[in-house]
Amino acid sequence: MKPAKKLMKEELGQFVDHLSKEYLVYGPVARRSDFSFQEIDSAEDLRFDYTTTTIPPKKFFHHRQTLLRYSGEDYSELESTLEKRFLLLGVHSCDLNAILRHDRLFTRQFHDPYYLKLRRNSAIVALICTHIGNSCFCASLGTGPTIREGFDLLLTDLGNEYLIEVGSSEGQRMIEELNLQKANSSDLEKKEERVKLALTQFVKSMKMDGLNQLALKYLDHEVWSLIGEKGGLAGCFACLSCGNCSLVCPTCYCFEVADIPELSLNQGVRIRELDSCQLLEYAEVALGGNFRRDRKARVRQWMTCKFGGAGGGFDSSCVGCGRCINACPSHIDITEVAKSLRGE
Amino acid sequence: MKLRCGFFKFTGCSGCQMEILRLEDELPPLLEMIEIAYWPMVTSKRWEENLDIAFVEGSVSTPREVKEIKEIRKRSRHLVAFGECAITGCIPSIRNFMTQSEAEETVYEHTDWIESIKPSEISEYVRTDISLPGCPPHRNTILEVIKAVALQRKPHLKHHSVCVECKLKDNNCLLTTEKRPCMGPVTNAGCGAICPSLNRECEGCYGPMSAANASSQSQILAEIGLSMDDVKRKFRKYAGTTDEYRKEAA
Amino acid sequence: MENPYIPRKAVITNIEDETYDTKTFTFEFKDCQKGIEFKPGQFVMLSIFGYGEAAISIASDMDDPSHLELTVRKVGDVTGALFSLKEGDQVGIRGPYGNSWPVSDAEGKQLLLVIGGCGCGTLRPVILYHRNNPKKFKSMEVLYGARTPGDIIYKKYHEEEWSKIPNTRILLSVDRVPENTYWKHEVGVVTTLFEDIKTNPEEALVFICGPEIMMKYSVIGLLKLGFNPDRIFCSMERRMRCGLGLCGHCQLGSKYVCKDGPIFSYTELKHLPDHIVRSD
Repeated sequence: MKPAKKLMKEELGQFVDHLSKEYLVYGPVARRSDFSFQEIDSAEDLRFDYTTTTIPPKKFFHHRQTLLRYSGEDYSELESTLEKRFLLLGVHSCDLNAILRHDRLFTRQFHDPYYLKLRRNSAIVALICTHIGNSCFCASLGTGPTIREGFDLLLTDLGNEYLIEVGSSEGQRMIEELNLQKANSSDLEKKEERVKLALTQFVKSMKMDGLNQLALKYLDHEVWSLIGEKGGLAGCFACLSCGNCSLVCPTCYCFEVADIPELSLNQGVRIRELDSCQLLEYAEVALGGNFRRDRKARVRQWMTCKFGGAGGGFDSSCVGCGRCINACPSHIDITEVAKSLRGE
Repeated sequence: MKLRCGFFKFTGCSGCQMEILRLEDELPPLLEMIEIAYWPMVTSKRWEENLDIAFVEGSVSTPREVKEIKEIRKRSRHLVAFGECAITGCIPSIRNFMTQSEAEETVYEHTDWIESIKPSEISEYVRTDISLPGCPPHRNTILEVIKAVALQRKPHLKHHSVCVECKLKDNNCLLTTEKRPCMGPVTNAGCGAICPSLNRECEGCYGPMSAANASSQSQILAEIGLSMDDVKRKFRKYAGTTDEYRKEAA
Repeated sequence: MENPYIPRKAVITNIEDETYDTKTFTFEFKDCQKGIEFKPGQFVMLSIFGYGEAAISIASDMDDPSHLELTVRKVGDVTGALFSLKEGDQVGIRGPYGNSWPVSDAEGKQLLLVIGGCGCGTLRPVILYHRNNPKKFKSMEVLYGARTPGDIIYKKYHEEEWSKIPNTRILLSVDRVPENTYWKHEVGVVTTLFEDIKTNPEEALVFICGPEIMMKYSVIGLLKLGFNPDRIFCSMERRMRCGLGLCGHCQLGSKYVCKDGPIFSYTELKHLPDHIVRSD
């Protein structure tokens, strides 16, 4: 491990400018009423005090891709249009863990070249999360707020300066030319204090152990009809099947594939786009059949997946970012579902 | 062989047909593909030959239209319910929540001149092959329908919520973060989440999505402060007479 | 890096009518790799541009990997488009994918195949394997039920060729016989053939394929007869977008039908949600 450094807060602008030479830099910015990862023109736009973004960094890797272009009887993968590497600046532990899970998911039996191409073209400067949102529960899942792997650089806000830890040779190159002050042991202690303070801010928690088995075992548990049909679990309304939970989930990966012909009809593209198991059409089969027609079965599928009990196993399970809770118009809360399944 | 198309307007605003003209760049290649056999908005040509595709805009609201839609059905291979009026009755169907005489007296001085019935979707009278939702349908979905007919497959239209498109656009959520009465969670996608992308709540102009949960949506709208009358109006505006919304709109 | 989403080019070399809505297509590959090695029960993703992809079980003889045969029922856009193609036309094919019928576990044992409707395609490689190696299984019994005589696929093979393989018994049944149709076999759903099963439940393996409702009642009947749920195998069908265990659509609980299936033992299947093949 390379020695940690320190970046004074007033030097953040220079730091971002320096990174922008090599990378397209994306970081959290404030919008009307939420935060979002956007291209950063100036460090002034950066909001390192953000709690969470509406859409996770998944949007950079797995929202919509062209799988191939066809023309008559010929077809091929599109030539890469990527030029400059991109950098995600200020990624929290929950999102970083989700990215690492997708790295595993997309390299299991088959390697997904589209995901991997984007992933290999990216770098990550992570940020220890110190502004815990009301829906966050990463601490209880062991996915935050501390970060141990998966970053090129790791920043911690120490008050007047950022502690910079190096996680890769690429990260080392990012700061090489900068004349940064070395961090000392009291800086590292300060970091630990920051993490400890963050830990006291959590409102929600979820006990993950064995939830995957419970969800698969209790297929007719009352909680599924509460969230799927009747409403009433901790004040929630019945699920709308709008798909928000899975679209904002950093570990949801399911996608739809479609051919889009041009008007000439013999040329076109095959694309894929993020899909959701909450949508009725997701489980349609030939001749109009549907094996998850009931809303209840659909919410059970999603929750089971987030508890690690679906096909993705723990590579698509919950990281505790709380986005699904924030994004659900019906106020369905995964931590309440877990409690109910446990009989708590 | 070009697809022989006819464009018909019943009780509606012509907005759906206008959307075709907005295709602009795609119009020349489209005209390579289709023959306009009847389209009063752009040509004075009379309708003579049978059609491959009939695009019917508007709801059925006069006895004459009932006759016409049956004639169009007879003479068309594919009948497209073109836009929300043709699918759900849309805005004209708001008057289905009052009596016929009330509606007539509100608008006309001499109601004895008026030959009108309650507006309804065209599938009330004839079988339709394709429903192309939207007020108006997005031009890309119009192209998709034409391509699908040419390829002899089902059109790839979306039947899920607007929320999906909104999230894929990384929009700031109006309903959950700003407590604004957005109809996205129950509304059929296809527009590309135009309104929420422009900081306007979804009004629901693509009609109910598949298995829309109107009951939850109405509770959510009430929770953020809408009066029950306003909730009712939200559901009545575009698709109040559909099975999905009837209860909430009544 | 090899891109698993890019199909291989294949040309239709033969089209055989099976029934009014089912045909068997033979394909040859245009690339230098030529043929396709597979295990019985596996499937391929068939691609027709502009329409999409569909998962289709392989129906060919695995001892002859030089070409690929698919028995296809016209049920959707991709299969509909395939039916409009003719010999010499090109499609895209990738695969094979999925697990397989546990044929080697059945060696030296009795094998019972229960087939409903178009399900025959995925079990044809098993029957052909038995034809090529008639001593591998102690015996093979095939129970095949369809709606009408006109719905029976590979009819002439069942009646003329396969029933003559040593130690092989083929029983056919249809739900109903339309007027003026000659039918010398049984009438009734496939489970009506169960009364006549000669296979010994103690040592047999059962392979079932057909609509879920048919597999459900077959499992119920077989369990009653004393067949072992660990040795009853069902082939599940789901609409797949990738076949690679990545698009998520074919999930049943913790399993992907494309990767962990399509063949599941009943013991495994009964614990999975979102299907109806259960005896309770």
